[in-house]
Amino acid sequence: MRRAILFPLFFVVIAVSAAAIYFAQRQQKTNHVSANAIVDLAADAQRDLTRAPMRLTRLSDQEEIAIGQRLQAQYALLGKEMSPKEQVLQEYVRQVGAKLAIHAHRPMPYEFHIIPNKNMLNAFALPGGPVYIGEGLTDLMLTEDELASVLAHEVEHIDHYHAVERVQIEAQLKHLNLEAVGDLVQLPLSLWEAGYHKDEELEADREGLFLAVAAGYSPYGAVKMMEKFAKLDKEYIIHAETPEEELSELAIQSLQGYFRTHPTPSDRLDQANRIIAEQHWETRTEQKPFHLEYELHNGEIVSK
Amino acid sequence: MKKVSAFEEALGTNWLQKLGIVLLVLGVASFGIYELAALGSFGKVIVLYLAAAVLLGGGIYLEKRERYQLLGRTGIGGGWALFFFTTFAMYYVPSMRVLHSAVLDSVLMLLVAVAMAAHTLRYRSQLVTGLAFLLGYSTVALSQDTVYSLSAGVILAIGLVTIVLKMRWYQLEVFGILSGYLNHLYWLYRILGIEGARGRHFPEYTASTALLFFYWLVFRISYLWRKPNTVQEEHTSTIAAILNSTLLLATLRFQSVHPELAYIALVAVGAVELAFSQIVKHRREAFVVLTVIGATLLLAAAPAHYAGPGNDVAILWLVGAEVFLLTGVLVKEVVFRRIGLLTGILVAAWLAYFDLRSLMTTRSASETTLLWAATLFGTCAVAFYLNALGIAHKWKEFFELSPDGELLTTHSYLGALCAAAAAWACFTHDWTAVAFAGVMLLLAALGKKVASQHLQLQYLFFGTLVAGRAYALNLHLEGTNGIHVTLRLLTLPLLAAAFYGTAKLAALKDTTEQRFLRGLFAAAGSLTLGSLIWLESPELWRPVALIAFAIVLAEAGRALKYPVLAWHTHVACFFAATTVLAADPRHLHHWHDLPVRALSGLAVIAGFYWLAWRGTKEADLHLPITRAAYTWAAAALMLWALFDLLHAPWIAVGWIGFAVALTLAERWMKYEQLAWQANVVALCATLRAIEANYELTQTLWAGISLRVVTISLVAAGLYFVSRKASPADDVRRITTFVHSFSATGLLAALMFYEAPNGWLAPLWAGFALALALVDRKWNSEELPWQAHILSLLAFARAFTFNLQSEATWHHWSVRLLSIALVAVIFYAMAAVVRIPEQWKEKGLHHTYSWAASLLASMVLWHELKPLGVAVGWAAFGLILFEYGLLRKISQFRYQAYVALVAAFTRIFFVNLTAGQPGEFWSQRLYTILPLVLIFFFVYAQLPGESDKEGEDGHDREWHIDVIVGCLGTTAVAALLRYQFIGEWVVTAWAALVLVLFAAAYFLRKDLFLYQGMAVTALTFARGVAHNLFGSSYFSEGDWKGRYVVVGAAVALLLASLAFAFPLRKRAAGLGSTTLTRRILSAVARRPEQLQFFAAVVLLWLMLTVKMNAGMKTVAWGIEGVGIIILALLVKERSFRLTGLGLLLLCVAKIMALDVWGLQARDRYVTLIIVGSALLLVSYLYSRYRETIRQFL
Repeated sequence: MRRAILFPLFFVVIAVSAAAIYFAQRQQKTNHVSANAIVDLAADAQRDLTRAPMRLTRLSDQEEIAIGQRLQAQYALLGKEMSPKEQVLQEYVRQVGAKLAIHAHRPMPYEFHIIPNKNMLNAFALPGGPVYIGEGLTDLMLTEDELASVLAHEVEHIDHYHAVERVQIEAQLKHLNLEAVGDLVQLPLSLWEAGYHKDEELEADREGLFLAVAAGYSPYGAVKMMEKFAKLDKEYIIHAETPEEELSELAIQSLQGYFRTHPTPSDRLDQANRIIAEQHWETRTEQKPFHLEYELHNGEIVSK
Repeated sequence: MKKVSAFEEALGTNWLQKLGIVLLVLGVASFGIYELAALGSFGKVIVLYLAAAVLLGGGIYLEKRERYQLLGRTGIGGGWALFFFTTFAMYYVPSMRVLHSAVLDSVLMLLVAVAMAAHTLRYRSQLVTGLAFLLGYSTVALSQDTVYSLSAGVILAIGLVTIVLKMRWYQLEVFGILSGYLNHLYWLYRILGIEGARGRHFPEYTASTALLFFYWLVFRISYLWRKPNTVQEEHTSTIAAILNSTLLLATLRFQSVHPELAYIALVAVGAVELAFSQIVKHRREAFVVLTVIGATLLLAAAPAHYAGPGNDVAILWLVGAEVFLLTGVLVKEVVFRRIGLLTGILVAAWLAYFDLRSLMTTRSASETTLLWAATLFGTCAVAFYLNALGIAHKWKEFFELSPDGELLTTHSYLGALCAAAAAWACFTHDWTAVAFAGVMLLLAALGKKVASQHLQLQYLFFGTLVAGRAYALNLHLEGTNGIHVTLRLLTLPLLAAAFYGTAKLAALKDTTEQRFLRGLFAAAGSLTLGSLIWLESPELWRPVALIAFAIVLAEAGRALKYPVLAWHTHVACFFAATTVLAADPRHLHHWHDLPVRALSGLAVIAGFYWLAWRGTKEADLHLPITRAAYTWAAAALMLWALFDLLHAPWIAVGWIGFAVALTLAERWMKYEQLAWQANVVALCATLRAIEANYELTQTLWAGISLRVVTISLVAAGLYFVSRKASPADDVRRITTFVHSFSATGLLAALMFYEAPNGWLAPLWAGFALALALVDRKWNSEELPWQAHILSLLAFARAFTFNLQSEATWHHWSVRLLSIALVAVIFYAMAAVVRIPEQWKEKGLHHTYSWAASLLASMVLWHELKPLGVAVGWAAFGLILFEYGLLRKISQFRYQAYVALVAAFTRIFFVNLTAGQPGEFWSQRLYTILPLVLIFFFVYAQLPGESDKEGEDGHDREWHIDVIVGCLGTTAVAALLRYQFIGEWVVTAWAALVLVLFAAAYFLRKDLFLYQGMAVTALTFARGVAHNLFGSSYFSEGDWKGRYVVVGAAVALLLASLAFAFPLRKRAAGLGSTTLTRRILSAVARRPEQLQFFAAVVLLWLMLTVKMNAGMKTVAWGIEGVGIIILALLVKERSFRLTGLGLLLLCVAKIMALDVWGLQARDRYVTLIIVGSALLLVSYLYSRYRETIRQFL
């Protein structure tokens, strides 16, 4: 390249770079250093590579239901003693879940349970129909529509085979025989509590939104819940300030999150708002309050 | 095509034909079974016999044709098997029972078996005949209820033996023996149960015993009668003979009613076998087998009758062994001799298992004399030694071959073991060791007389016993040291004398091994006496006693001309030294404030110097080493004494003074070991200074600390030693390096203690620069290395401390200032440091510039916000690159490349995920685009393979242009991956493909062509895996999700054909060095093929996944037609073939999927349609094969 062109170009490039650095330095928001980009790529590759085999080796609905029931028994999530308020909450969750389940694509025996633990800010689903929501998460809710959005999200994890595909993948990775009685012991509860791949989470959000609206709920229930999740995310995530902190955080992320990514709350919120705009649901703003009504006599529920 | 035809022919005429025959047989059988359910038992039997007849007849017919001989024989076997099964089933299978007499059925089965044998004998097939007889035996076993019915088995045995002797099928007899005895055992099991008779009488006992002996006699006569022609036949016969005896005894044991009389059977059978052995003396192997069996049974009779406490089985066996051995010697029969020798070993095993165990049990409880055990073991020992030494000496010609000699040798060792046991049984307490020592001495004398190494090993074994026993008992370690023990004083000298005497007798000849053996016993003697001194002398006198013992040993060795004793002297000296060092650990004893133990050490030091002086008067090879060792030990003891005598801060100074003294002494005496010792003492002084003197912060004089004074003195001494204390010219360089480095290290560490803050790194770097400059002036070899190490320390300090520093100096960041200083000094060092020329040619001096650049990059990382780091590194890399290009310094360019790669890597950790979703002009875009700009700007200036400029580095060799170009394109691809919503990434990448192909065409750069093809592959993979198979199961999406996204990608890929065709054959390719490169080159020369097939397959898959099931075939057909039209337009043969292949695939898919689809609805009809369809395809393929070949 001729020097007459080279020198001006060099300074232009340096100037452009300096401008980029200048704008980057002026940013008030600190960008989070993470391995998310690489983990995203790896997780995408893993999911894309497994999707076709999953389709070809699909378990039947009956097999999936049986696995779900065995997992449910294995984790011993049911049968715990509940206070009267928790019993009413349990019934309330069942009613809202039943309204949603009839609109799912697959006619599975959906069940909806609460986990009586105020510290549990999570919900998850098992293959074949069981859906669980933590009492702590319900405490964050102000409307029934918010509850419906969470339950619909979990229903769609079952409906769209996310849960059963996870069983299939784990069975392949750990060489499990799904028909053997003892092999499912190797699937811990944390497997379901940890969430799914980014695309699957976004799909469950998207389809859950349609499901909630089909059951008569406002799409803004989901929007509200996502805003709350975004707030929690800001509170709990620690951002690295120095290169050494960056490296240590990267190491921790690599150990914990390899092949498992989650969409950021902003991604999810953006998708929900986009769907609302595309479906012209802006007017469906009215939400039902989260309402538990009951009376106690001598510790027994007499009416509600 | 030839291969396909050959495969089809093989399938049709070979495999399919065989499979067809098998299926036909199975099918007929299955049909028969199903329909037979409606028939009665008689009908079933008739039909099965008919089937068997058909199989048998067919087999006979086919067997006559050579081509089908194997199949025919299989048919014959199957037919006879079916015949036999049917005959069996007529009585034993309830649903097929037509006979009600087991005897009649058994007769019929025997007839079938006889017929089978007779028939198969025609084919001279031992396998078939064997099968027949095994079936016959099984029939007998199944159908017999009384002992008399077992006579059928005897008949079979006689028949079998007849056939065996006639046909010489000796293998068959083995199976016959097995079948006969096992069937008898099975019968016994049915009436006696799994545990057998166990002494319980049963009515059939006598008849059963008679039958068993009859079996044994029949097979034994067969064995005696035969005349094997080959060795193999004899071996097979041997197996039969052994099995016959073994199974007879096992069966007799199973049905034993009187176990106490078993010895009679053993004696009787053994005697008969021995008698039989005389009949077959002309068959050597048979003679040996029968003799061994007979002898074994006779020997086994002894424990069977006499086993138990107090019985003398060992003595009986010993007598038997001696009888066999002497008989073998007298009649000159090796078998008897060997039986005798082996029996002797058996005697030893019996003694070891029973009598020795009993002896050990008794000894563990009491120390009393055991005369009976002593007599028993002593007798055996005498017998064994008589065999090993007497008989072997008198008739040595009989024992020259293996294994006779080895067996006799074994007897010798067994004699030793018995002698040891006898001594143990006879003598107790401390005198046991003396007894062992006596046997040891006796064996040593005997071994010397007969010159036997085996006896040597045996008295070595006794020596081990003596040593172990002495350690365990005679040393009396349970008592306090210095306390007198009478028995110890009596026995230890005796043992030492025995050891020394054995040492005198030990060496048979002057070899290394024999000298070692003698030395071993001599060492044991000295060790015994040394132990006596150690245990009997008081602690304070022990070093003196040991030194005195050492001197006595040294003088004795000199007097006896046995230099090995000098080694004993060294060991005694070692213990004298350690005794001094370990004495008085609490410093309880002083004389005028001087520790007594140090004064005691003087005696030892004096002894060492005396021994070193005596060593100078002899010319033994090891004496110079001894002299050196004693002077080294004296020097070490002197260090220890100084340590005890001086105060802590001055110990290092005292030691360095001692080192200087040693240096001066060496220069006076010319004894180089002193110089070595001076070096080591100097090293100790260094370590002492490091360990103790850096903490001395107290002021000594005029503000100068004790630390500065003492360390400076040590450093001065080190410099003196480094220059003057060189023991030899070849190590002068090393000693100079070590002490010079030590001095410099001490001073550098002094700096650390005096200035422990952010300025230490520049201080060290400056010191390094000063050393480098001094070196340029004085040309000192070690100074550059010290400069390198100091620089490394400065770098490490800057990296680990200064980078984290938040301190300021006059409002300036200490991190910025100090690291800038270090970086500047490093850049200067790269220019001034002196290194070997060959290293400089390799650019190793640029390690400093690399370190400087790394530090600068680290400062950027710390000072910039995360989003700007990548851009900062890239810009820094660009500056380095331009400087390196301008000054033609390749190392700066390499640093630039590393910076660019780091910048590229960095975007994956922050830049790509920056910004909000859907935001186009985001932080991601404006921080990555400058990087892309820099990458391609650098790429544009780099010389390609065809350019002639830029010869000053490895840029071209390492394909830096390719790497940087790929970084740019990859950055763009990654940017697109995160800039667009997941579904549209495939379209964005397809657009990138089009851009890259256009760039390749217009800029005439092959790299963009390769990149375009790589991104094409990526696009294809992404489209298939993510957009097609990764899409939602239920939400089918809108028209965009179903067709437009992937369709647009396909269109863009096909659009790239506009540039791909002109680029055809223009690409230079990748060379042809490997197969992979040749394939890639071929692909690169025909880029339109990849672009076309990627688009076509992606489209085909989209239609497959997205279309309704009924429309897929139609869609494929349309695509095929479209491809053919495109192929006709571009006149590309491969495109046309693809279209035709797709049409053929449509046909195949219709047939295959329809057939399988119909399976669930109507399985029977589906099977027929599939068969017809396959035949039709085969017909069409055959009929139009030539047309297709012409078309293809």
